[in-house]
Amino acid sequence: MTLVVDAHVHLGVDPAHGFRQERSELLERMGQAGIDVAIATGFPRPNRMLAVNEELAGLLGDGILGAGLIAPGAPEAPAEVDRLIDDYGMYAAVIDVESTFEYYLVHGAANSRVTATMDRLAERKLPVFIHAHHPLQRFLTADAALGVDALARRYPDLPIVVNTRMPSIALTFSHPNVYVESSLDTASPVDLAHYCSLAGARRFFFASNAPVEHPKIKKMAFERAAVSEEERALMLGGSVIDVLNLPRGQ
Amino acid sequence: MLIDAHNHLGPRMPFLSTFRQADELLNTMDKAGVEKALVQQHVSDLGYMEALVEGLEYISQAVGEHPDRLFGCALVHPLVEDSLVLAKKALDAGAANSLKIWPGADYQPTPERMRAIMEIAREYGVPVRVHGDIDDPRSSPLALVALCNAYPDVNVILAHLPGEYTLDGLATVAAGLAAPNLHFDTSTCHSSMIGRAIVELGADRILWGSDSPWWDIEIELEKIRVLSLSPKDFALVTGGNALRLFRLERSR
Repeated sequence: MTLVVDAHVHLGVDPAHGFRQERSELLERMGQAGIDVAIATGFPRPNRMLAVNEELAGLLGDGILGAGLIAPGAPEAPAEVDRLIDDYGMYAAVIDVESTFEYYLVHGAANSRVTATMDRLAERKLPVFIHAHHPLQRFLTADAALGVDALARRYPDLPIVVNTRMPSIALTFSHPNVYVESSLDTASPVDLAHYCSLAGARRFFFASNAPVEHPKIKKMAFERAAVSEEERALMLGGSVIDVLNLPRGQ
Repeated sequence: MLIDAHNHLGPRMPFLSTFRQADELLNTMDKAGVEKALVQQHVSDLGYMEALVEGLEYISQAVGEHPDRLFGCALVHPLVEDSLVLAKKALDAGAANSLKIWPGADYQPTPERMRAIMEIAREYGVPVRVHGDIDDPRSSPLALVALCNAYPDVNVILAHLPGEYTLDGLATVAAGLAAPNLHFDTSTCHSSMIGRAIVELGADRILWGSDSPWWDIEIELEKIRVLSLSPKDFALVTGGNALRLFRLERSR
């Protein structure tokens, strides 16, 4: 039986929005929802990449796997990519557009620092989650979509997971390395079935964004979506296990 | 009594291949233990008069056949005068007891532009419901403060809290504090945002709604249950406020 994997949760304190989630709270919610594995990230905080990742590393285990924050424009970012893999054993990186305004995504053209970081991510084959949600937009903006498109073209072997459905779903049509997770969706079974039909279950991941939403609520939506059981199992865990090369047993 | 303050019925349901019929809604209400539900047509009906007429007739028929379970909402547009005529007919017939606007259909809900609609609402004593969307300045809670203050005796209900994807809800809280007659429905929102709005504004300002059929009634109700509200607040959010604002006890 495929593990149920929540592809996007947060641990720690979020001073920007007032959220917080302790490790024990996450484990309790995972238990209530029937989640086997959660991919956790610290709450994005400007200029705190190293400290947030170090704190997160101390909270992993018991089904909690890590996805470390990377601010690609920071001079220490390429070395931090190495540290995520070699020191912390993390499975992905997270680029948060909201906290650090990754304007190269808007322009579709990166400077030398960003390029060095992206090159390192590609060399180390560390999948990248892009929190592509502009602070004032609910959907990935057209500008940011062009930026993701540029990244996907330049790094065709690097899995890029975007957390907004529109127009990210359209990007999956032309880029086999672009994936979408559900953290910004608000638990509509109709929408989820629609995305599955468009992008395919291998390109779409269950993600709760806990503590913003309780994982059992988001999981209910996947359980009620009108898809095949094979597709449901892929979206609830099988696909992200393959893309992030996660352990296949608990 | 559980009252779902946001549902859609009718022949045009985007992303769904078929009609959404009243019997289907009643079945899902029964499974979730929901006693009453507000029903409305889809906003896209506003683009074509024949669609607006057909959709409202469908709503009226459903409410007429199930008056103890369903209550209607008439879709109006301040620049489509015929929509106001249709809405008044529905209000007169008891097929609707609220109005709905969608400012994202390219207009600002200013007090002057909204005057005719607000005067109808005042005359009939019904609330005006507004599609909320934090990303659209015309549908933002802050866009409604001037309107609410100009018509303090008309209750306004902003749908989707908002917003569907908005994380901090600051605009919702700021607008709610500035306009005491502004209320919010919870449909499609993250549970954490609903909880925050209840804490900041009070449970008497928040109405539970699902936005079915796109969102699932039981899942949307679970978003309220996970908040562990006091019994009094849970009752207000999931039914008491709707009873009061839609005057359901008086009309039945």
